[in-house]
Amino acid sequence: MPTLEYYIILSIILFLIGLFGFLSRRNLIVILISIEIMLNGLIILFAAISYFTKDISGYIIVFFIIAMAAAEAAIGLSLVVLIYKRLRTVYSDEITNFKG
Amino acid sequence: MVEKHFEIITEFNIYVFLIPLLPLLASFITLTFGRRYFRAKAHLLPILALFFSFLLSIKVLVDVINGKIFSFDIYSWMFVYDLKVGLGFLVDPLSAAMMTMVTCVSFLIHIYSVGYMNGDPGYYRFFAYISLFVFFMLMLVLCNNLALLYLGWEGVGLCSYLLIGFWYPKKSASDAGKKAFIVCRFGDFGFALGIFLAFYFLGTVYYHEMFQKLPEISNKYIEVLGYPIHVPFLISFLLFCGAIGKSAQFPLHVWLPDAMEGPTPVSALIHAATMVTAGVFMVCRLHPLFELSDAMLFIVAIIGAFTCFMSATIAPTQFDIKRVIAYSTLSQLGYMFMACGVGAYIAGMFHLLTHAYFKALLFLGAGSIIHLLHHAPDPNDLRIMGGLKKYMPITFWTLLIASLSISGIPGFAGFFSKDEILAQAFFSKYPWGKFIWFVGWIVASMTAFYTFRVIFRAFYGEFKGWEYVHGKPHESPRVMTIPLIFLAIGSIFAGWIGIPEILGGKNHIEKFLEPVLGPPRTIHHIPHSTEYLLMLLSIAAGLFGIFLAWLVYIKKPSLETFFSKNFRPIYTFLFRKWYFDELYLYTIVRPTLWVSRKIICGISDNTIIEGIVNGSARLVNITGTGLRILHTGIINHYSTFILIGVLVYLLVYLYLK
Amino acid sequence: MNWDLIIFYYLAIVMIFSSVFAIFSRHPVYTVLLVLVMIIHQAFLLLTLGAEFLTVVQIIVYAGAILVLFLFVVYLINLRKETKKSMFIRTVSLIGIVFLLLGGLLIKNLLILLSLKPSFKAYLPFTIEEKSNVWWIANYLFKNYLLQFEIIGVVLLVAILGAVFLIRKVKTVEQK
Repeated sequence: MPTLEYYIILSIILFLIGLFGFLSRRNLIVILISIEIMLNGLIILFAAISYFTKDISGYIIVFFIIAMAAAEAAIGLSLVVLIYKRLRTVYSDEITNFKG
Repeated sequence: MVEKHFEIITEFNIYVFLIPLLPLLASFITLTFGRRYFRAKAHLLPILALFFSFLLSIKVLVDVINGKIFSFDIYSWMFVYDLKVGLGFLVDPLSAAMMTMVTCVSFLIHIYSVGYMNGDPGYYRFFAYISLFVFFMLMLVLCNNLALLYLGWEGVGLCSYLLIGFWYPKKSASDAGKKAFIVCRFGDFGFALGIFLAFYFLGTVYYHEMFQKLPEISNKYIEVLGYPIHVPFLISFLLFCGAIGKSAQFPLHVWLPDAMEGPTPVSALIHAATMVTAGVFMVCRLHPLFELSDAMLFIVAIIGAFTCFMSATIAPTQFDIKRVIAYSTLSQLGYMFMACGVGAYIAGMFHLLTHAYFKALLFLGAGSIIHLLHHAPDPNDLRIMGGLKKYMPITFWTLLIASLSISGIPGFAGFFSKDEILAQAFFSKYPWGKFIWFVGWIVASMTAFYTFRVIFRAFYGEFKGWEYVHGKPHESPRVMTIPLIFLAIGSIFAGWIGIPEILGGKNHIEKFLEPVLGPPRTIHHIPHSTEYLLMLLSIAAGLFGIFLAWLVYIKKPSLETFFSKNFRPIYTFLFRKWYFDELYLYTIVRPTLWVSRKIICGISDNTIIEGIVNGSARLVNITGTGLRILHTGIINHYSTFILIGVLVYLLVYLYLK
Repeated sequence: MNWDLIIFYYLAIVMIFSSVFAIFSRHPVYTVLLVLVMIIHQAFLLLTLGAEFLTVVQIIVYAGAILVLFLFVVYLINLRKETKKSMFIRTVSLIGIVFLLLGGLLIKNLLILLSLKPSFKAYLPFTIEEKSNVWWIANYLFKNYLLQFEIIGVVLLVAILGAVFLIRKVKTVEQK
């Protein structure tokens, strides 16, 4: 039987993979997908803790996280489309209007 | 004298409230929309507002004559612990008389300005400022406490500054504006201290409460540098400093002649008829305070007498027509202070009222000539005028009336008021009254001399300004001459409200003002024969001055240069205005500039403050250049910095807790 | 080695590898499809955690809505393979160091945290009382977490409006 540690380590690994992608990729769409991977790591963490502590709150939070992820994806993707319309690129190192 | 019973009205009265409010609204609207929308019609709104103010003030004046006094607060302006200052009005006979004069004269001058300022690029600005001035002046007159008086006091100073420097591209005009503002500041500093001190000792700034509490301080002394100083003397002296500045008395008189750089209607309204008399008004208003100290009254009288004499000696040597009239204003203001200094407040106020009419008329008449010559390099120069009598009949006759009035010829307004001052000075219960009378008597003949010098030089002889006039010299437009005629009527009849009893008159003004200012402080028994003699003497002085002017400028023109040739040093001394400008230049302006440039600017500003300021800017610059590397504009880097922040927080949280 | 563990290992390994390949893929379409694989496996992982309702939601919302949206955008802006230069930004080494530090810290501390408490035996708590997982979630969601539920609804609404607002046609944008 997998114990809580298994799930937690899996969630941390997923979170870190998403984090690495979020920090290092140039493509804005991949960056957004990385955020989804990080959120999936969190979903596993909450579901596992909820399951092992017999507390329903974790599931509720997972439900909320999924809703948030939908909202975040909608806004994020519309921003990406907007950026693409204006600047004709989705690569973050080419969007340096804020360079000081 | 039967004590007149007054009904004191403490409720809000819309009429009184509207009198200052209308010019203020007109000024705001004109200033905001004038440039774009009103342009050449900018005069309509202020004139309309002034007209209604004038009607309302007549209505209020009638109410006051019928025995009402308005005294009410409409708004609490400052309310700090003990200090309570309200936006309040007090309309008693004193302020009602003054208010009516202010609205009347300024209404006429507004109309005159339509002609005089015609076509000026700052037309709307002029009317906005002048209406604003009327508002502040009315606040000054109608307020019921010292703090509000100070508001009006500074407000009229501001408007005076704006209007003297009205033609600001001209350097001399903007300099004159600054000079007026800064010189008045010396006086206003004392005035503010006086108000603080009055509040400190009396605990209130409201007139009626102050007067009730005056007995408490009448014998109080405070130590200043080890000397005991009479408290009423100190307060009234400081307040009088403000009056000296505003009314241009010695030693702060230097700004008024320079203020003639402003447009002539401004000189007439602000620097002759209304604002400069604020000092006299203030002394009359606070006379119970001034009377507590004989020394103070002596100072008031002496400063008045000195200014009066000094400016009368300067005036005949000047060639700028407006400056001559400005010096005569100084001189007449000196008369008013002399009157206050001998306790003849009513005579002083009376002279103030009549003076407003004939002095405004003198200025406007001069303005009429200046308007004719406005293409000349210096249109104010008496030397290019002459022989204008047949070309400008209305200007000539009205100006002649004003001159006769100021010279004290019987029947004209100036005669009654000036004679009242001289008579009450002679019979004053204060010992310096005789001396004041003597100075006043001498100056009366000098006044007649230099006033008629202007008349003779401008209207008789040959016209010398042909090249500056297109075609023949002509009379000014009707919009300018009609106010002249009205003011001329005022210059004659304004005096008739105060015909003394020995000439069979009723002396209405004395009865009107007596409830506020009290009876004249004279010795009890006045022999009528002496009074007649004094009157004859002052008439003789005026006639002698006119005769002298006629002799010098009409009969024997060779005499004109006689004085300046044979008494060169004295003439130069007078021509350079007693060297006051030079004196101030070397004793005050230059040392101040030296200290400012070398010490304050050189050491403090350039080294210390600029060092700190530039140093901090440089620090920011260096830090910014360093941190700039971090700002790549790439969001991945920014998120990495966030991550580093989280990392640092976690490390601190986990290991340094 | 029982079936539970085998299933867990299978799901975990597929999830980790698919997400790693998703991150390292040069083509955005592959990235999206690999994440789809990961999400379906995660849905089954949630099933092993006794959350059948969340499994369904995960598949419907994530796979059915969000990833399709991603795919749609990828096609919309016609992204090609990243061939220009490295698909990572240039300072990836700095990021790697920071990332490793944080990762190490997280794992170390979470493991320390877990070692302090006994492991829980896995069992399905909610089926004991003969109520389904859906019943429990609905019960809690509409009683204890009603306010939060409403707020999430508003957030979603705002997100819809925001998305519509952001990509509406604006003349100035078109002219540029």
